Amino acid sequence: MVQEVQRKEEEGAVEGREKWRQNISSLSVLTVAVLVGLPLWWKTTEVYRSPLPYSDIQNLAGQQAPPSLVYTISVLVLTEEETMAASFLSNLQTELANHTVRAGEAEVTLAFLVQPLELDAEVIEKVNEAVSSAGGTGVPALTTLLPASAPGHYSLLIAVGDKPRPSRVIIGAERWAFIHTTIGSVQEAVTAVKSMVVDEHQLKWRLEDGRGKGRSQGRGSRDTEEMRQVRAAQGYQVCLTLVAPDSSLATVDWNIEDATDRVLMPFLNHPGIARLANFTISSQVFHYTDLKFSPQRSKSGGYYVSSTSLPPMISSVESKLGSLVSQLPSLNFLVLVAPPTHSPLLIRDPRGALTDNFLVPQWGGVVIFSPPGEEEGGEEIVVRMEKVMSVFVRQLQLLLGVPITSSTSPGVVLERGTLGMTEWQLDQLMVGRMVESVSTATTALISLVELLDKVKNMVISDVIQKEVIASLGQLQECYRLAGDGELEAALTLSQRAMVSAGTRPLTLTHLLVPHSSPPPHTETAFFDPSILELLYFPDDQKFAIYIPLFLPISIPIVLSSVTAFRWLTSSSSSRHSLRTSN
Amino acid sequence: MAARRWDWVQLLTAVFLHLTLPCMCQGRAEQSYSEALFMKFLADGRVSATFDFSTVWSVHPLLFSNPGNVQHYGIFPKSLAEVVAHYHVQELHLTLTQGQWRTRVWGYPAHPAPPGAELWAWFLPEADSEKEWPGLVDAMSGLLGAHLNAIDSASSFQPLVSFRPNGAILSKDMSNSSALLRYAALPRETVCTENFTPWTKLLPCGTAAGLGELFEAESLYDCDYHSLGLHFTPHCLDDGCGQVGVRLSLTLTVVFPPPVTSNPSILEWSLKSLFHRPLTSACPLAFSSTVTVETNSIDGVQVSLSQTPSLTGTVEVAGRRRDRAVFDLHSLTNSTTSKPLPPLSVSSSSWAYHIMPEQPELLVSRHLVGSGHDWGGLATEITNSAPHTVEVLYLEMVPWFFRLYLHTLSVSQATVLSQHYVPAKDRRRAHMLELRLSLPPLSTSYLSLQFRRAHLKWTEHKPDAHHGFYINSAVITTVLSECPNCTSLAAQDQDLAVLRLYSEPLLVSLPTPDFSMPYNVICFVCTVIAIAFGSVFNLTTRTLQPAAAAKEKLLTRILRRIGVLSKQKSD
Repeated sequence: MVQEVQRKEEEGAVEGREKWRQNISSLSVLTVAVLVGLPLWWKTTEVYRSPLPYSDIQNLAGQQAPPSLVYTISVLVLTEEETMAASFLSNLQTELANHTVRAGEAEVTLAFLVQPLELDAEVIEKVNEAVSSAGGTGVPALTTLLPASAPGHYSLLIAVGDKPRPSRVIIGAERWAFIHTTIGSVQEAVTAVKSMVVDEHQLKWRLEDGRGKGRSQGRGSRDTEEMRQVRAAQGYQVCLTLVAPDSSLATVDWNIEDATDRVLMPFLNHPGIARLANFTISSQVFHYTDLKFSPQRSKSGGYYVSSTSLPPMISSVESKLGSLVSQLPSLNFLVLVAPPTHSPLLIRDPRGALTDNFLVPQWGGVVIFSPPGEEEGGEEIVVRMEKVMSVFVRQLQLLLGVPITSSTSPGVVLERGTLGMTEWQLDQLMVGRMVESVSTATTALISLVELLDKVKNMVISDVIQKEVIASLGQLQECYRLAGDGELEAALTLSQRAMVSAGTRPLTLTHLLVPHSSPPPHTETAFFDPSILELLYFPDDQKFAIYIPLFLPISIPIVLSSVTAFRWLTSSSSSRHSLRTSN
Repeated sequence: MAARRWDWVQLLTAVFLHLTLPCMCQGRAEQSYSEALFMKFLADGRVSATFDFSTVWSVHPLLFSNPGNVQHYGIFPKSLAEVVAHYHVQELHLTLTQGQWRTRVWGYPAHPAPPGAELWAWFLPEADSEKEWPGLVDAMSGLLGAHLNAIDSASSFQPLVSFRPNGAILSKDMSNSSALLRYAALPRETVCTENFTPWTKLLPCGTAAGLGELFEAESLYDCDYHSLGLHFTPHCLDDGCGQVGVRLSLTLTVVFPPPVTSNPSILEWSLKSLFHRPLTSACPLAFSSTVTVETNSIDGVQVSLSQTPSLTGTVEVAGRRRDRAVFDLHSLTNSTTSKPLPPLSVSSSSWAYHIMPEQPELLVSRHLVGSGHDWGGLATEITNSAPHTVEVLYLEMVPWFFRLYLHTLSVSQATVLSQHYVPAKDRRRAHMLELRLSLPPLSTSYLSLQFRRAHLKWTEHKPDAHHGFYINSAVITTVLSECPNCTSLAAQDQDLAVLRLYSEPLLVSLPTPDFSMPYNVICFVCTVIAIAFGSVFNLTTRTLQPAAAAKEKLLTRILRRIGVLSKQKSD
């Protein structure tokens, strides 16, 4: 009997040990599977994602988006009293407190730094002379007397007169203003400075534009101006095209070399224009282009086409324009030679007005040239380039948004600059384009990061990382430069940042081809065989592959670990109960 | 051997080249444009039409490539000029061909081209050809809507001597080096209107006037041979080549089926019947616009014209007189009235189908030998029917997935004078074999070469994997002193002519995997792992008991279930 009990106890002990072994081994398999298997699987199927400076980019979004701009105003008060000058300066500084331009969430802060203008005594003498002579007619001579200025640096001349006469403001073509005022009133000076330094409306819409909000849909004249302008870019291809009639045996010629050199180049080489972007100029001649229009005879003896028939006309030419090598936006200028049978040819707009040229917003311009008289076949038609080219230059100004000097308020005289463009207005354009570039680059970066954040199994290659970091660095550098008042350098940097931020399709293709050096061409990237390696599988296919492995392995593990856990709890409770019973 | 090779280079170079010093001095660059059509009967009654539209621009090639910020293109196609300048190309040749030119019957073509697409370019000495080539390929495929993007480093070649520059040579260094050359061919490329339409856009008069009026895609593609060409070369402007310009030649060769009439022995064609379009005007931009008809191409067959030509003449081609009738479109179309030209029709006297033409001196044909999916071979037959020894260059280009064994190269009859072999590197470079052969008079030489087929990764197979893989046409290049079978508009104005012959491209099938295999393999492997894991896992987590005990236990359990045992126990 005792033996039997002993045997039974022994058997129980063996069974217990056996149970312990089984459960411990199933638990250890579970541990290995969880600690080694799962991380291994996770690591090997992970998508390559280079770390991006997420927080910095998010900061950009929150930051006062485009940089704060610092302007330096050098003031010379033409008076004997030192204290008067000093008080004027301090008054001006307080009045010109930080000025913020807001558009939606984005804003630009303008800061002004007022300092006295240091000039030699003899120069001041000459200035005094110029100002007093003929009550201000000598003022334009000031341009030569004042030191050469840079964008962001302005000179202010204040002549204080006690006599109660209407005060006068003259804004020079270069960066100076002359104000005749009574002492104690700095208001005129403030208005003059602000109108010279900032075009608030332009800044606003450029901010919005860069934010991808689209150009405002209003109908005012300012809004059509916004719609017309080309987007900020690093460069433009200006392409001049002569489109000859399709049914004439007469040959057409134009002296394009001469016209370019004499009319177009001086405009593009103007420092204020040249620093905006790089321009490349090309010209070509198209013969036998079917323009798909039908001119009608007008009462005055000529012919006209209605403005509604212009779009198909443009499309028929556009199929032959375009470049295969450059990604810069192009500005197209067409000279349409009217067929000799339909000459003179004009365009009639819906209101009935006749014109010979029109501008296509953000695309280019068209001039219709009507050969004089009824030319018979075989003769050569020579296009008069002076007129055509000057129209093109005007259209180019409008497309680029170059302001044309015009006086707005009474009592303010605006000096006209070379080619009708003043330095301070070109500065405004430059600042505007910088703000637009910065804004565009920021938006591109933020949306890129948002996209990558949302699509988790998209590869982020090192190339993208490099581009993003470069763009971010350029933006930050641009902020710093703008803060230091180096506007020109800031513009260049903002344009570069815009390119690397991926406003060009280049970066998007980088997304598709990982671990490769930047492809020189979008097409190479797009059709690269390595793109196949990227085919990420949809979830159902993924599971179809996982199930044959995971199911037969995980089911026994799960089941046995359930038993093991049950054993664990039961054994601990039995031990517990044993202890309590004891 | 090297010395000999350079001899060849020099010889080939001497054919065209007129070495020049760049002369950047120039006033307003002149552009001139001319168009020509050359029609003739081929020996089997087919009619060949060869168009040549060429624009010569007196701008120096170096100035053309670095235009700076301002460039006035005039009538020169800007889209092409920008590509050429951007990628620093000195010479560019692109052909898109449908069908194989039958040299045996048709004689030598005016613009030889292999079936499919062929692109070769010489880059300017300062260019990095390695970097520029992929961009150029992409741009050209964009320009002509062709699928040239399939060209990669594994299908680009740098033949040492077979492809020398055709135009003026700009610097002495490049004539001896092929580092600036890239050659690629795509035999699989099909040519269609989507390539033809962008090509016509490069013509100054388009399809609106001049010879372009004849272009109607339906008739041009419903024919036996069709070859589009685009050739950009530096061009000598004067005899001494003191001034160099650039030349763009757009060529089109079409072979129409025999224009049979109700009388089977008389063949008759007109421009309208072949092209389905009338010719109504000359292109006013062209300084010359001509249609030339060869009237005695075939011996014993007289050809009569329905119209008196503007000019008739006889040119001496290799001791044989060729009568040609030239129609000047400018004089035929009165400039004041744009009436259609009087239709031109050409009819033959009794056509002798049975008379086979005299065989051209050189013929090449290549075929595939071997069976099965392992070994295979290339066999090339080169016939020299000239009564003298001919030296030729033979260029063979084989993709890397055919493992070529050079020791199996056997040449009969011909003597190998020199040999240049570039072995393949997997996925990066293809095999290239360039031989200089001396073919004995009146002989047929045989070349054969063996290869093994390699296995490709399953992702490397193209869509439609069972179609097979192509081997480029072999290229035979030679310099002929006289060329009786050449199709050429101009009389032989040079003492020597470079002749290029292309063999047939070959279509080889490779072992094709079952593309569902990866999934099957995954399933198999997973199952094996699962079984192995399962049994080990069971061993460790299940109790093993002696079989007998288990049996007894089972038995008692069954008995208990039935109720026998429990009853006993309770009893």
